[in-house]
Amino acid sequence: MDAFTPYYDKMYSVLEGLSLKALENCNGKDTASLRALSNDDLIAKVCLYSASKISKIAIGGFQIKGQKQFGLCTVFANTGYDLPLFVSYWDENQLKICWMVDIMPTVDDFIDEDYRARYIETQGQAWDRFAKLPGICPEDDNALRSLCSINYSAGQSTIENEGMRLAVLAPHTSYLKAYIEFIPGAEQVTDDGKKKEVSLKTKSLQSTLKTHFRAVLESQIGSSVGSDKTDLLTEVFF
Amino acid sequence: MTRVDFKDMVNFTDVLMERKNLFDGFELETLDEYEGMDTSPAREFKTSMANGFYKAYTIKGMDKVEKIAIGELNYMRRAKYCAMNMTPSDDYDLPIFACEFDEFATRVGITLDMMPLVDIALHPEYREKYLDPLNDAWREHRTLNGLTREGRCLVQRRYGPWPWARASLSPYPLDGNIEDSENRYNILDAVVVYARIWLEMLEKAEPIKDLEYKKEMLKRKKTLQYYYRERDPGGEVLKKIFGEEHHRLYINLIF
Repeated sequence: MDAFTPYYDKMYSVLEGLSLKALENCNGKDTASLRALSNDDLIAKVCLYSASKISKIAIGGFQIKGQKQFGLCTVFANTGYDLPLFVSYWDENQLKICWMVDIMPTVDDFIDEDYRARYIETQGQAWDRFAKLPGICPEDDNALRSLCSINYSAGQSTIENEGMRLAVLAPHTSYLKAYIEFIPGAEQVTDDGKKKEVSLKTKSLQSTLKTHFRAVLESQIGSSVGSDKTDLLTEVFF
Repeated sequence: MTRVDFKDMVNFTDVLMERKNLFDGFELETLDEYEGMDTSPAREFKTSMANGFYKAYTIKGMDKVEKIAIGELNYMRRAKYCAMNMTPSDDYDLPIFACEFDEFATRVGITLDMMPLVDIALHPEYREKYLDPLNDAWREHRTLNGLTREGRCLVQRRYGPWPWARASLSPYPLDGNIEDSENRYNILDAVVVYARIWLEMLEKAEPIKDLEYKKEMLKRKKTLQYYYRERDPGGEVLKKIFGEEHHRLYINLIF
């Protein structure tokens, strides 16, 4: 394969706008071993950060036997903030890229219209713009699709020319930029009921995401990195 | 583009109830009153602009159903606005079955879904129990011409301009514009499959005992009804046809 899409580098370049602080552990687990995941079959790059109001930013790129690339990027807010979750995945081979990117609500945004207007509907123009990308289609996994906001973008895009790779990467960087712009204005939730709702929903989202992506990571790189590291990566990203 | 004459348009109610025998095994009972309103004026109506019927039922001997409403509005011999809605009673958390089937000479605009009564990202067990059974039918029918032309992620063209409506949908909506005359009938197969799945779940449904959950569920149910009754642009059409005073009955029966 000539060259993979620069998923990691482009996503990281968006994050550079934040004051990133590298994290050495995640939920009490040492993540140092993730710096040495690469082996004969795998080139891996995984970084974990925190930032103001943000408890966790995880970004990873995995090139598998020179034939495939898998990428993930997630952003979780500090407890007490109602910021949504950012989730992006990227699964690329020589012929096709399967992908999804979303800013997932951490409240019931059908009921909470202020939240939807502030964090979700603001993505409407981007959603419209990327709707015409070749290969755009509903996220195939039912559980993952059920978490998505009304403005998620996803696709199974056949690579007809090299320009396609960057075109399909554009929604990921665009949604991430939009998410980062929410951060300065985000304030602590003061209403106890809303705090509880955000906490419960965030945990539920994390649980479903962990189940889904644990299986994805296992199928992508499990045989290369082993079960323990797959578990640790799942913990780091979700 | 195929043009279909008014006389050849789909007889939505007749196809579902007579030809597909959708309610076989259930004894439908006319719902004479709904939310304090006499439903008889809707059973058959005729105005200068429209004629048709919206019939409302419950199921005999069963307290699980708030309403089963089905009807058609024939607008100036140019279009047929058809709808079917099945709403559980307040003790049950079944999704709301909702189908709009609007036929014009050039196309059918359809939205078919089971709208969840709780936030399914917070309650994944709700999705597994009530919505995932739609998976096979959704995958089979969402590739019909017209439902995928723009490839939109949530297959939500008709509701695209209204975020509140998109937010009300399940992960399994069928939504779009179908032009060719054969597929106007084929999409009715999906309506039947979705409706039969709802009716099967209805038979098994148990009343909700968890009061906290019930409160949460009813909040979403009432909000769904409020939004669709107050915000759906179809309401303005009904106001024009039936007048400010009388349109409420029709709107509340449809959703």
